[in-house]
Amino acid sequence: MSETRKILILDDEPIVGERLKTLLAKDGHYVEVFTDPRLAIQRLEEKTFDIIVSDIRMRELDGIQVMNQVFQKSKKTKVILITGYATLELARESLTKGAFDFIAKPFKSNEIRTTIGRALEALDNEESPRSRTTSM
Amino acid sequence: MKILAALDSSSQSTFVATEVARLAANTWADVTLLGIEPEAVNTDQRPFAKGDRKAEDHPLIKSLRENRNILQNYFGPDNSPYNHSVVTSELVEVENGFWEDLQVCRGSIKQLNTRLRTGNPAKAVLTEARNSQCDLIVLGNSISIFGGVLARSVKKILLEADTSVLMVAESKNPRRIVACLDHDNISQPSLELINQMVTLYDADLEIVGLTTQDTLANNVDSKMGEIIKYYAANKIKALVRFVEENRLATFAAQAAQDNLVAIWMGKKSLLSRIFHPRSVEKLLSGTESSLLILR
Repeated sequence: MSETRKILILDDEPIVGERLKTLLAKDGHYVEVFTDPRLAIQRLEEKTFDIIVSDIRMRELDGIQVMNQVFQKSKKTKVILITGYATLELARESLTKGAFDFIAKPFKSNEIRTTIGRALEALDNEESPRSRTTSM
Repeated sequence: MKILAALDSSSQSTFVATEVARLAANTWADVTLLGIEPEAVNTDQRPFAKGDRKAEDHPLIKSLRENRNILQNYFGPDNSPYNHSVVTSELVEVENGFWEDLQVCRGSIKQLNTRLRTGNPAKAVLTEARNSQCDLIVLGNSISIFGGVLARSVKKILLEADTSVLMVAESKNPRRIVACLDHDNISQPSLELINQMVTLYDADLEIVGLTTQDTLANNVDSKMGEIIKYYAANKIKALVRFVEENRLATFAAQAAQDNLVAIWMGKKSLLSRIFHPRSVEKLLSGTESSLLILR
């Protein structure tokens, strides 16, 4: 039986978090949603999540700062950054600083589901590399 | 974000591909380049199958490959989200009892697909948009797309797509996005798309509210307040203008001369009633700028 994965969603627009929570919980994941980045950071200090989905542009802290905080605690956590104000520079910065993926709004449920699927696959591969390197 | 670019072999498709590349460079969108081959007169002709014409010599195939290169080259060799990091072998059953071991490229961060559909162009684009669940269809100006013969397809796509449609015109960048919104029912994806356009073009935003003989501007103003708050929270300065319902189509046609006009035409939109097919035709024939239909 596969392990339940822990996902934290952070977006200052409540509608985004609610939508994603319903979708991802239905897929069997454990999901926590935050609209305030400071509260999300507090929670990240208490608990390690497998995947973080965070908006980039927020009032208190931006998504890239949140990602830096995440990596200080856990390097293996996959961070997916989403934004309504995408620029070339932002996309590059997100990826060079270690984001697993960069998704511009609007997006449909399937897009985020596919990206989370890829992130989970990457986590599985990192956690059990031996079982996947023997067959040629 | 998923973008579907509707292309043909005309020079305008090159411009559309360049605009899509620019949008994709900002958004790292999944992109499908869709080539349309209009219905063959002789139904026995299959332009991309075995036969007299080699696929690589077909003008549409050539054009699609060139347009794909435009997109890939836009990012430079090392920065493209469409670069493949893995080449694997996959056994594909070509026909019953016959397989081919193909080398397949995988591992890109984002998808860049090149597809072809034959038949009625509007139907082909609408079908692909539905199947790919794209967030935005991008196509050229009605005057020259699909060789001019199929100008009517653009109107049909704009009016009948389930998703938002951006018609790009070869003019200078819009300085202003004029968004005609229905203050009661605007969808979140539509607002998000406006934000991306404002960011892409570094443009001002003007929001147009509707007034009728029975509705005072200040009543509409209070309803528009929520939308303005949304933009203020996202650090976008939005100006509001009120236009009487019976003048909106004319106003939009004039505004489209110099700006990117965005019209919310979702299922619940009041504006669908105002922008009936004839108004849209007028808008298309008059505009030298881009047009965004939001859904």
